[in-house]
Amino acid sequence: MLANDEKIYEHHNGIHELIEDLTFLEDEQPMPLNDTPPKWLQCNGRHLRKLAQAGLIWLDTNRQVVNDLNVFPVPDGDTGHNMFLTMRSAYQRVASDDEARVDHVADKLAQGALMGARGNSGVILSQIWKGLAKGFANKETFTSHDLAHALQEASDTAYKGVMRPVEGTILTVIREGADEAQDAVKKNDDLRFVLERVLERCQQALERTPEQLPILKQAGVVDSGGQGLVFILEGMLRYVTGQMGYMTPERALSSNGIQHQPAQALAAPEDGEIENPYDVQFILLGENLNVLEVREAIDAMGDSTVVVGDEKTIKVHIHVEDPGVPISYGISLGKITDVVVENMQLQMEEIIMAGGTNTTEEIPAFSVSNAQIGVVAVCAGDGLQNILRSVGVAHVVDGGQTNNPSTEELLAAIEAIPSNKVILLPNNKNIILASEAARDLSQKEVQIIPTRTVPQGISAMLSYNPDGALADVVASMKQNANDVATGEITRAVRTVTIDDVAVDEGQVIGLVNGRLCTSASTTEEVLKAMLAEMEMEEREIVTLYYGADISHEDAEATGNLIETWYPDIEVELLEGGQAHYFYILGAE
Amino acid sequence: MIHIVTDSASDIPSAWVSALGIRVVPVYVNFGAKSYLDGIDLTQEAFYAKMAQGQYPTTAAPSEGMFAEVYRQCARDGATAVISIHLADTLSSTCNSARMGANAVADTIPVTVIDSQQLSLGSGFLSVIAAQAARSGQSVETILALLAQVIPKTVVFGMINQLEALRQGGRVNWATFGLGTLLRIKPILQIQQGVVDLFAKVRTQKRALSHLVEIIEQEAPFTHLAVLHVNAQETAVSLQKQTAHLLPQGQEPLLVAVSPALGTHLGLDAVGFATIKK
Repeated sequence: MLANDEKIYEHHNGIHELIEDLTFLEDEQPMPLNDTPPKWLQCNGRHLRKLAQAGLIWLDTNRQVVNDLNVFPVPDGDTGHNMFLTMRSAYQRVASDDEARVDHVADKLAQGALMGARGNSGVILSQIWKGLAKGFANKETFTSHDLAHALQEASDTAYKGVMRPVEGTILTVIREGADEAQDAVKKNDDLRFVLERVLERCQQALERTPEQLPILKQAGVVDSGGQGLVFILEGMLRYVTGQMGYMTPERALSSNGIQHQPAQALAAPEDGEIENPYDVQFILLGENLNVLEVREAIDAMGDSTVVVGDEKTIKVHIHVEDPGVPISYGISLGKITDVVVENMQLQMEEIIMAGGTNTTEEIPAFSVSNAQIGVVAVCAGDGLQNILRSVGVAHVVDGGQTNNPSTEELLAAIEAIPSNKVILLPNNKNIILASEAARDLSQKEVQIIPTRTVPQGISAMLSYNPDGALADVVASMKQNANDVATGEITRAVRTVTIDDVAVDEGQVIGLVNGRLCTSASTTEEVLKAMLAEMEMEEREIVTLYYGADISHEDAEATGNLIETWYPDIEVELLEGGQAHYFYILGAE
Repeated sequence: MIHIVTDSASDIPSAWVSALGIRVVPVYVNFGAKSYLDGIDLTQEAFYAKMAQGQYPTTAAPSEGMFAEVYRQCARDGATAVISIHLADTLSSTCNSARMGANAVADTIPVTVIDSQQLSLGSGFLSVIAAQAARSGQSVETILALLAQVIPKTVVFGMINQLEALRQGGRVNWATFGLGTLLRIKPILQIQQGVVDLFAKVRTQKRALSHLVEIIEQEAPFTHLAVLHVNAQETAVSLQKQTAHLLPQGQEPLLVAVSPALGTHLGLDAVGFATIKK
């Protein structure tokens, strides 16, 4: 983790270089003050890198604005934060580059975005980069016509990346932007002109999103993902028009939003000695690389192997006894970059010295062989994670509502379990897209069961059979997931009215199957109103998972309330340990 | 005359036992330091009352000596050979004790020990089929061939209502089934040819019961069908009614209260079906 911070600091210095370099374009064609600037007809790889950087900085500057557009008053996966992390991951691939070819820079940006993508808007943003890279294929430089073509590819790719595209989102914004570009190039081939028109149209499209998505209108906001994209484009235009001075680049790469989670990542053996104490990560660059061969070779060196990429770029992650072995191997095949070596033994000892972080005894993950089906699930809260492991989950990725894991983290989890057939349970609507992206990147056979809540995930696990046929197991798990109604109780983080439910910031609110259903000043009132909407006459058991802020005694009292209201219902009380949500309940 | 011997974990109704002349060797049930002989000095009522109080008994296979004694008694009663059919080898050492008992009496009477690969009436039905064949004058070879044919078609399905008893018994590997200790789960298990498999995991009893009936309907038709229960008469009667249509007109699935020897492992309110497929 430390090494990561150092790298960020390096990039941060790089930004100053860029800022001083803002006259870059003008150097080539000096422009008279207070006059029409000369046309900008061609853009090379260096320009593209700076455009990306400018987009990143402006998005970061306005990150909170995007976060505040969250429709739901729940502590949600923050769109601004997620898009920023995605964009930063893209930029990090080119930050210390001096590559002049546009296609090469675009490829790297796309790779970085794909790996760092998190949250639904982040995943779509990564698809936009992927499409742009496709559009710039084999281009040394690009013109406005190339840009229009690439934007079209970006829009098409983004739409294809989503199972059921919804209008009134970032998708609409990129599509209208791409449309505009096709028109604009017919009028003027100046890249500045095209970019201005594209941005203007994107802003208009963004303003219209509340008309397309009723939920936005109810909440009185524009789409957050679309807004994030507009900020990125705006940043790019600011760079082009020389307004970068208003930006605050210091924050862009220094504010590290990554959630550190060392405690869970280190499965300590009983004697306290980690078999492969060094965590080694690097990116291997070469020509005609064979991913399968590299994966096999790396895998033989240690455990927790992740090897993904293509013939030119391969990301390697492994735990080994001697970090020199994989690094030497990498050098034998090409150039290596972004090398991170961490001593997990020392980290673990530090955690132990610090008194440990886990109070709940951790249940070991379910062990599967490579021929069996393995399950990866996303979940936050020690207790809920334990329950998932106890019913057969082979790898729990820490995350959820407020902390959406990235595509890369999900991919690492998929690759970390021995199974070649993997079922992924996102357990949150904001993680479904990143899950799909991870599935597409993995060479394993991955199936996603689009669970939106943890109780759904737990229910799905009840029909998990590691030895069954994948299609059958997935079908019955999907069916099981739908047998449970989920209730969630939390505190509103903003004042809003949705679906005729008026909520004041700070009130207790209840969600049924992810839909806001009630608000009140006490948990009891909310619980009562929620249960009334959960078809309790058809239910037999309510499992009450209480959060980190709730004492066992309070939880017992809440369980007793439910039994008093519904004498025929059996209540099972379990420690969920989740943050933000006082109670999560599953009714079956 | 060939005599058929089985153990008390076969759950054969006493009327059939006397009508067919089957000999039943009791399994030991131990509550703490006290040891009872299943069906002899421990009644079902007394046993289930103890279990309801949270006492989980252990079981022990009948001794080699008990088997030898029963086989000798068969010889004294005029048996020319004995076929001794017992609780699955994979779950119990009963077959092993029986084999040792058979060796001990080898000079007196030929005894063939058969691993039923089953429990409860799964094993009981096999003893009944063997006894009927013996009564109609079939040879040992013929009866053994018949059993070899029927054993693979014999399946027992069951829903466990309280996992604690099964867990304490240590007969099922929980880890391989993903049945953790945290969540209350009602597993539906299947035993066939000695192997216990997890058929389904369900959260509530109502759903488990309807699932069980669905399974039985899918597995039909049967030559033999019985409803089994561990102190859950009411639920068992309901299952009996729901599955009566699977047997020829006028017949009803047999209703059997599981003996303490098995009940101790299955836990209170477990219900299931013993079946032999057509």
